Amino acid sequence: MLFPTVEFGLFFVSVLLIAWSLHCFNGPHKLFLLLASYLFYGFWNWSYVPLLFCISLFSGLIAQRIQASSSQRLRKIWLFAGVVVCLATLGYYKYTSFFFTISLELWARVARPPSITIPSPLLPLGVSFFVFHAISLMMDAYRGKLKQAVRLGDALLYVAFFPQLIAGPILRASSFIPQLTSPRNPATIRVNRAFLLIVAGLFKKVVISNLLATRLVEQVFAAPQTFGRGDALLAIYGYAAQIYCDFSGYTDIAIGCAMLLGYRFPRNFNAPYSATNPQDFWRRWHISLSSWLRDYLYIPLGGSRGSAARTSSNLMITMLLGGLWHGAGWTFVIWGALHGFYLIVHRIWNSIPWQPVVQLRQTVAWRWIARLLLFHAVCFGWVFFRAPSFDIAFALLHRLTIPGVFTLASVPVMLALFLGLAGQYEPLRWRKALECELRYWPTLLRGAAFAVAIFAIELLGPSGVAPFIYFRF
Amino acid sequence: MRALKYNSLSQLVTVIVGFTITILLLESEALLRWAQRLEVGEAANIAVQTTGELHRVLQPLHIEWARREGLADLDRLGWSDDPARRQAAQRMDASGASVHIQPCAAMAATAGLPVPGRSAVTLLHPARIPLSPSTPTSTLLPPLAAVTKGQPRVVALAGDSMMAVGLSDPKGRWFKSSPRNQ
Repeated sequence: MLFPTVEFGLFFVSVLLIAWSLHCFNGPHKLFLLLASYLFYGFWNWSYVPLLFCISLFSGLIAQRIQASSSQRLRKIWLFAGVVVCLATLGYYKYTSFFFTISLELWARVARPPSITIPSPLLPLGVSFFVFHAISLMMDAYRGKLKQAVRLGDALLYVAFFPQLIAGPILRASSFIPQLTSPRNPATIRVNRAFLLIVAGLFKKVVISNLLATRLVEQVFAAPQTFGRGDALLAIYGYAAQIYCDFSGYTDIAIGCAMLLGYRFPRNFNAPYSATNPQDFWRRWHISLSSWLRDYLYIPLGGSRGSAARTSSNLMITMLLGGLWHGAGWTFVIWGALHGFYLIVHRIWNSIPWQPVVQLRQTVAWRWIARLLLFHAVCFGWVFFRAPSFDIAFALLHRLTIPGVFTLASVPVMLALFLGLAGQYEPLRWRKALECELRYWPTLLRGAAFAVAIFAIELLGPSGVAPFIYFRF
Repeated sequence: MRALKYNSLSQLVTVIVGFTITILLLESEALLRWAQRLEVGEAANIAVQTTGELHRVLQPLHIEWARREGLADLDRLGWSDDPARRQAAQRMDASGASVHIQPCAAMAATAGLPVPGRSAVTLLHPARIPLSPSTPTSTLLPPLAAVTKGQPRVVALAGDSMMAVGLSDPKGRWFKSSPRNQ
């Protein structure tokens, strides 16, 4: 069930009304949300609901075992077993085909490979996200971040809660499970903020992202050899705007829906293309994933505590695995490696003690140059992230050297590109001012205004609903 | 202190009521179209009946005019992703005629879609329009083999006909969910 569909609209309004009518009874309220989450997931494919249930149940049981164990060694064993099972599940569904293909290719270099059918299980929707939630639950239990004993029902709902189930944000068990312990308070619902988030998210997804995808990016990435420099450049910038609007749009809708249900989700994007260095970029882009990788991978690897070489290797490992998490393909590995390289170069640049460089780093002009450089470095990485193969990626990069005009630069495309890239500079105070202003409107009129906004979005968006980019991760 | 007051449950319900009424008024035609494209089944029948009834009740208000005008204006601006619609809008704009880009009537009729200006209800009982004597009133199709109980009947639909009857979505979903097609 995609967010910008009638099906989801009907589903969500029904869930919202029933959930709030049950809010005084915390147990039934949570049970209802859990069943609604399974229904939401089952709408895609019922046969994978048992997998979701088993992963959540397993992580809940392991978290309970960890909390109940007094021996540190035993706690470590439980955690290790839990993480291995979760990663094995992810590996089976996501990387089996990739692993077999690589193995056969390597085999073919030394001998004639056996003729076997490469197993390729259907990738369960959002498996990377719910497996990361399951790991977060066990890790937080191990680190003692969960103050209260984990209840199985809470663990099931934490992993399967529908607004974040398919494409995040990746919630921490330590921030979400405490919200499940007490009944939701209707007085804390921020209706205006939630609706504004949903409307903004729908606009980003349905209008900007879909327009850029259908009118620009898909055409150029499908056959880059038929376009010249102008269109190739436009498509690369277009994809940067498309992926930002697609994913941050999804996150905005998810946060807005959760807010209407009375739950708080963390912010997942913070004007990422305004970052001045790669480290800053990863503090602004998919914040929940980058902080997850930092806390559960980079720091356990040693973080920046060792030598410069050790820190660089930790950064590279983290980014390579982060790239692989996005998809089982070499293009994703290269994308991760590029970002690892950017982070290492930035650390080296920052550690140069030469006075003129230190002074240069502090100037406003340099900050803008750095912002521009980083944006283009990120765009370069997006080429590998988006391209289905290296051939396409290199063909597109090669087209940047072939003279050509902007044949795809129509008014809607340019407007969407501008809004997609410049929209993130929208001052937060504008949205807050609008939120405050709406409080003075008659309540019924507010609802009507949101409906008119959604109507306008539906008119402006291209026909059909493209799936969110992050659904396949 | 007014600005600091958060919304209560009753306010949430009122906002949802306002939202629902407005969206039904503005989108009743689009909802009917959505229902007609659902996978064939009991749920789709209920959805078509409900949205059809809703559209029949709301149609006299002519609120779908806002939608059509909006789409026509967007077509004139070159916003539509359909080149035929854009060209038609430009042609009609140049001739100074009022712009109402209508979906292909034949396709809409096949899909049971309401053609702008005619409700779904009138489609079921179309008005008699005088036809040229040479226009064929029916097309003779080769008879289908009789249905055998327990045996599936295969009907081949391709391209636009699949889109027209709204089977592209279910087909796409089936294709996606079939392990052999991954």
